[in-house]
Amino acid sequence: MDETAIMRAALLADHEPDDESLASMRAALATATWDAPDAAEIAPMWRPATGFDSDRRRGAGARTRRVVAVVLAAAMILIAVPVVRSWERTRTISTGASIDPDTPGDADSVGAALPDLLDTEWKLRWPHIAWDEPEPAKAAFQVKQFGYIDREVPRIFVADKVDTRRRWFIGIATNALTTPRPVLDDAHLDLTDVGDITIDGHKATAHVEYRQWVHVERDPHAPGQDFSFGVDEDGWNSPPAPAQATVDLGWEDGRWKLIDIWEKSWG
Amino acid sequence: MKPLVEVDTLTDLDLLRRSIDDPELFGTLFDRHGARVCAHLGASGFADRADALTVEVFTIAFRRRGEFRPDRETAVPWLLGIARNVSRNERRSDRRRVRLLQRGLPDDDRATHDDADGRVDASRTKAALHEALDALPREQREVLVLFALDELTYAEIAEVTGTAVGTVRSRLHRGRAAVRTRLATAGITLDLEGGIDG
Repeated sequence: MDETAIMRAALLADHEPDDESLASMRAALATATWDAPDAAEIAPMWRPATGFDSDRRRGAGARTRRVVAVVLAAAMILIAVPVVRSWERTRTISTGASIDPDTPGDADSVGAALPDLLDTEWKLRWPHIAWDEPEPAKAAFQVKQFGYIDREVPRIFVADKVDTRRRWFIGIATNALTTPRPVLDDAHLDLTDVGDITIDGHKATAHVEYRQWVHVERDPHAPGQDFSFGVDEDGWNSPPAPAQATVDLGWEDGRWKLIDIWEKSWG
Repeated sequence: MKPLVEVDTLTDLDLLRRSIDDPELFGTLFDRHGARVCAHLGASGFADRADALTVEVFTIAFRRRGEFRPDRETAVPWLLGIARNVSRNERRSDRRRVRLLQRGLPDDDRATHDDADGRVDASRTKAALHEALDALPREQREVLVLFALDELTYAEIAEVTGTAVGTVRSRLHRGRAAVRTRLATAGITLDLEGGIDG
């Protein structure tokens, strides 16, 4: 018996449900699905054109049904596109702003857009770091390509989704090269305060305060656990003090987009 | 009267297709893979609530059965992909609560693996194996469980976890190495030919 089979046997022995448990689960599932009073409402609302509805497309009248379906689909698209665009505008511009995409939103719209913009930005600045890829040469190339670190890469390191414009990547790359295999698990940003907002044509500037959160999974087999970016025993950066920054935004395609962040203090 | 269907001869794809018009047929999919999904969830750190999560996985699958890709015959990777998402949501929602609970306990439920009777070496090995798996980083444990317990191929694991096949291979390699090392520390070796030595 090889080791995989041994593991499988051990896992099955402890985790495979018995018949009674399976019967209970099946009964619960039936109650929640096909036996539910509203079973018809939880049936799939959409069926892939090349998949499950092929049987229905056979037989008399199929051609007529297809023509009607195509016409209806086209009509729905024609109706839906402007509705969605309009909805996006009204969603982005929260209050008191024109829905004209060429007319910048007001201060309220900046405040409304900031939480998502900053959170997305924060996540972008924590690139996915896959420590397992056995491609040190590629990693060295990438790090040098960004121009931040010009030295031999001591650990296997590959980063993707990296925006070369982001200055914070300096810190991330440094941490990635010097810390023992932290695996990023979560990153989010809580906007705690929005101060002055000024709008000048299609540009806006906002002063904000926020807390940055990251969570890393520790590798218990790694030598040393001194994470230079400071996480607590649970892997969270804790407790993050509020950071202050000035945020530059630009009005593009009917919504505010983030141009840059000028940190005044780190959280 | 419903037409008789030889459900045993149907592929998962056929079952899902037919279950759209005959929802009760979906139960056969549960009969085929329910135990597997439940064992997977149990081995993924949810032993205490694997039953409830299994029902949740299949409830989601039932709602989304119209989205199953018609180029697939078996639904196992699809179901395990849903299980993965359910696990992640579950883990995220109660991460902090679980940590607080663990801090308050003298030891976690892993202690049950090596408690009491200590009957034979096999049970000691099993307990050590569970401890080794529990100690793995989540990504490595996930891949190892999908490979060893669920018997998925590298490509299927990559599909379930949303990673590259190379990443699957390296995580698996590191996970197995870590388990071996931990077992060796406990004085146990997994004999590739003969099984367990303890």
